[in-house]
Parts: sequence; structure tokens; C-alpha cells
Amino acid sequence: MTFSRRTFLKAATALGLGAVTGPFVPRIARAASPFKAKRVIVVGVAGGLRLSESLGMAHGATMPNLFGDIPLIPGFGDTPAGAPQIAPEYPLPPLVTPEPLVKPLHTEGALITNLRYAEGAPGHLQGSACLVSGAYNNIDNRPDAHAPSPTLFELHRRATGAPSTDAWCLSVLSGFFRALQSSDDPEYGPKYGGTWLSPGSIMSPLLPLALSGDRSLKLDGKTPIPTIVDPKEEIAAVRKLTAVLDGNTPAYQDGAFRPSPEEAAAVEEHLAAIFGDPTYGSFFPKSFGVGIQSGADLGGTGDTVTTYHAERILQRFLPHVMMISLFDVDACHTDFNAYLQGQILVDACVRHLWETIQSTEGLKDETALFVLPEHGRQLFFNGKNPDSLGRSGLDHGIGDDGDRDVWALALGPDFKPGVYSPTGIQQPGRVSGRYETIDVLMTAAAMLGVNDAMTEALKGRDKRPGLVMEGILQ
Amino acid sequence: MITRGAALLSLVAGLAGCGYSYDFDPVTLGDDKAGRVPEPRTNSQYVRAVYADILGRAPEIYNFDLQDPSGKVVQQIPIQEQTYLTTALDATGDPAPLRALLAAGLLGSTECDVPEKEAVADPRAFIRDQFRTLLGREPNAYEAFAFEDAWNTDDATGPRAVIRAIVGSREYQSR
Repeated sequence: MTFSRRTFLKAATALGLGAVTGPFVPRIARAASPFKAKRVIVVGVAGGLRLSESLGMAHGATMPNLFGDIPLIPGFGDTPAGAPQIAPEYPLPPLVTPEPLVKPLHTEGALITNLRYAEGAPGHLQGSACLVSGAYNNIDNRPDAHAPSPTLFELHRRATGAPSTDAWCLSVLSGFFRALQSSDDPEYGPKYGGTWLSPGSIMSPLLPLALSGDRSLKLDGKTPIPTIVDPKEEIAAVRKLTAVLDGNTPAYQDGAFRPSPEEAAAVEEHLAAIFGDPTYGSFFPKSFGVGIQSGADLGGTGDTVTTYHAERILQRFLPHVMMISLFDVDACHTDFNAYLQGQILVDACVRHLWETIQSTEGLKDETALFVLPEHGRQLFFNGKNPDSLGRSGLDHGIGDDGDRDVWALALGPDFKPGVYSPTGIQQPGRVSGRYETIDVLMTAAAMLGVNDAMTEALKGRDKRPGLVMEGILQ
Repeated sequence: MITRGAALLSLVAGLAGCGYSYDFDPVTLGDDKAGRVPEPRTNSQYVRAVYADILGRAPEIYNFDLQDPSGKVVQQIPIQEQTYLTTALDATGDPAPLRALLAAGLLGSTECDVPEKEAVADPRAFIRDQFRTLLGREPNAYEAFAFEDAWNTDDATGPRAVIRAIVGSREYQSR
């Protein structure tokens, strides 16, 4: 008898329901996965990206590596959209991007063109929190905020006992985006949280310069450039002695995320390799090839720097879960042309990320990549910073169709290539009749073997769980 | 339970040869350090503390000059030590790894005068000095043994590792 993925999911769901209604089950057992993908990466094109500018290509083909140059949704024509329409008066920062792929990535994967971000505030933290938890939400933008329901990091770590270095959350935004690290669910929470970083605020030569003790540097090719020396052997020695001291001090009881000493040391070694590089190329190397031309160098943006460091982490730790929250396109509040340029960079970043995954042993052919806007943007211009092409800023947040109609691209060995816009998807409480943002997360959870746990956790919080997107799976 | 306060009062009364005795409610003086729940230092507090303890100064604001080979300043980079380092630490979900890296950087600073391991004639005294300076106490017997043993058996354990271990400890990083 063949045990298909579909029958597996049905059986697993039945088992999951049994777990809910049965006696106390201390840990969630994981069955052998029917999926080829063992690792899941979710990229949130955060800041808000409308369907009309991305798949509709209403202002040119801004995302050619993902979508090509022919509009993929009705109402925008069926001929090549041409180059991105940047206003002639716009002071154009010269972008560095590779030649677009001849065959766009969507042809390799499943593209859902009518995804619906159906509920919850179309806000940055709320949208990104949905992308880590599968829960629509209206959490507050506060330093003490938590994800609204157990995150993929918590679900995965609790189910497998994996270390925190097996689950990462990288975010362009710092501050209260730390909320994405974990929920405050007493069964899960920070002890199962992911390792959260905002690389743009950390990865900079300013740190070694500030710590060098010097106030000047002669650029004569002979004077050593300041680095931070933190050898692996010393890290191990320090950890051993710190453990002696910590053994005499009670543990913190503030409930915050804290990795084990071993996990912290692994992260420190990763950082030490970057800050110990005397070329400073490890902060953001020219070889990344996506960014802004800055003289002879390559300048980074929030999205490009974050993507580069996501790749470094993927290659070093081969984590099973990663969520990347980008942000460049949010310049659109006051700058429509920067919004278009942000799309060009996101497109090149996602391509670079996918090519890195597919060229890294341990990730290749066993990683699922989901890319989707955290939400869209409103249907009307806000009048700020108008350009000569009659465009101005676009906000998000009121929840119109511009805010809520988005897309999702799924790449990986389990997806059935195609362009999908299904209707008639049924579930109690689902009025869209379409695949929704929460379905992407439930599908990701299924690949990690934690969809039942996610469903259980969401129901426990009166949240509507997403559905596994059977229609796009092999 | 006889508290230290009650015991002290009894002793004072005895020494005074007083013919009267009084009953007092138990008095608690301070808190038993081993029993307190530590509260983590904020990143801002940590930065100020390690600057004071390792460099002997507060974080500063200055311009970092980039010079051409002739020594001419070609660019100035404004450095706000406190702001920059705190911002970086706040951009991590758990600051411990970056705090450790920061301590390593400070100990490698040209401002910092940490001796080489070979230059330390009396490791035991060095270790005790660091406990007194950084934690305000003597090492207990177990700690003293562990630190001295590591010093003697592990090439990577020297002055830098001793200081880093202490400033990386929960005791140092809490208030």
C-alpha cells in the first residue's frame, strides 16, 4: 500500500484530534514526513506590496526574476510590461542587480495569484506575526509584544527538541519586531523561541572601529584594519568558567528568550567570524551582487543586507525553520518610485536566496521557500510626494482589497508547478473562498510535521487555523 | 529563626552587661545574595558597566578620522559608543553572544591594558583581583579552584578569558 501525502495528512489530522480530546499528551509525536522538504523558509515581503504593481506589473516588470514580464493577473494585459517606470525626475540611486532570469522562478514552483490576507490589521508587526504563527491578529506595536499564537519556531523546537540555532527569525526592523521570536503561550513561549536578529543594526564596521580604542585609521594598505578577535578556543574557555559562576547564581525568572550556553556560543562564533574578517567583506560583500552602486563598492539596503546574512546563517546552521521579514518596499508611504525600486531589489534578493539554497549541500532539494507580501497597500494614492507620472505615496492599514489581495510563491520539491487562483475553498469562518495567508503557514507547518500542533494551539486561542494547500502539492 | 539582626542585638546587650532584656520582632538586614532572583541588566546598563570596568571610562561621542597615507583626514565617522552599541545589542533576541563579542573587542582595545598570560606572575592573585573588581567579592573555594585549574591546564584561559568569564556571568549581568 502506498502511503500518500494526502492520506498521511488525513491520518495525522485524525491523530491530532485524538490528542486534543484524549488524555494529557506531554509531547507531540512526529511521524515520518511524507514531504521531501525538511526545511522551511518564509520570506515576508514586508512593508506591504500590492498585487497591481507586482503580478499586475502596472508600472513595468519590477520583479522579473520571480514573475517574468507578462502580467499574471487579469486586467493588466497580456503583453510584456516593459521596464519599471521610474519617473524621469526621480534622483535614481543606481541599483546593482543581475540580468533577469530567462525563465522566471514562478515556473519552477506554485504561484497563488489570489491569496487573501483576510483578517487582522494590515500592519507591519501584525502581518509579520501572522507569517510566523499562522494567526491573524491585532497585536500591539509594543516592546513587550509577543506573537499571537505559537510560532513555527516554537512548534518545531518543542516537537523535536531542536536547539534555538535550528530556528531563526531575521527582520529588517528591530525594536518591537523581537515579538516575532515567540508567543507567550504557556505551553510554548520563549523557551522554544527562535533566534532573532536584525542584521542591519548589527553588521557594521562601526562596531570594531568603536571598540578599537583608536580614534583614527590610516588607510595606507599597511595599517591593520580593526577587527574583533574572539577565537573559538577562548569562547570555549570563557563558557566553561562562566558556567562555574552561573552555577552559583539563580536563573532569571523574567520569562525572556535565552539560548543555552552552547547555543549562545554557536551564535557568538558565527558573529566572531564576521567581525574578525579583516577585509570587512563579511558585513556585506560586493560579491553579493544585489544592492546600490556606491562608487566602486556595493551599498546595502535593509533587504539586501538581511538577505545576505540570512544566507550566511542558512549555510552555517542549516536550520529547519527560518522567517525573513524584509522592508524596503515600505518606502512607498512617501516615495512611489522607491517602492518600485524596492520591488526590483526584493526580486533579486529572493532569486539570490533561492540560488544559494539550491547550491548548498544540506539545503538543496530539501528546502521549501515561501515568498509572500505580509499584506498589500491601499487602493488609492495618498498625495504625498507626487511624481510627474501622476503617482504618489501609498499607505496601508484600512483593510481594503488593495491591502488584502496578495500572492504567494512556493518553491521546493513538493510543489506542483503552476499558476493557481482557486475559488470555492471552504472552511467554517472562511468568507474569502480562497487560499489565505494563514494557509501558507499551515502548509509550512505540515512540512515540519507540526500542523496538528499549530491547529491545536490556534483553536486554543479561538483563532481560525489555516488549511494545508493540497491543491499546489505534488 | 534567629536573624543576623537579632543575634547582633543580643551580642550588643551581652557586651554591655545590661540587666534588662528585650524581645524584638525578627529583623532582616539586606538580602541573602544567593537567594535573590537576578534581574538582567539592560543593554544600556551593560555597556556602561563594561566600559567602566574594562576601559575605566564612560562611553563617549567622538569623530573617527579616516586618513590617507599622508595622514590627511579624508573622512570623519561620528561614533556614539553608547548609542551604537546599545542599538546593536537591542537588535538581537538574546544579547549574550553579542555582549560576549563586545567584551572581547574591549579587551583587545588599545585603551585596555590587560597583561599577557605569561606576564602574570601570580595567577591566583590576578583572579582574586578580578573577582573583587568586577563582582565586588572574593571567589569562593570552588570558583577559585575552577579558575586556577583552568588557568593551569588550558592555554586559552588567561587574563582575557578570566575577565570575559566574569563579565559574561549572570551575576555580573544582573542587578
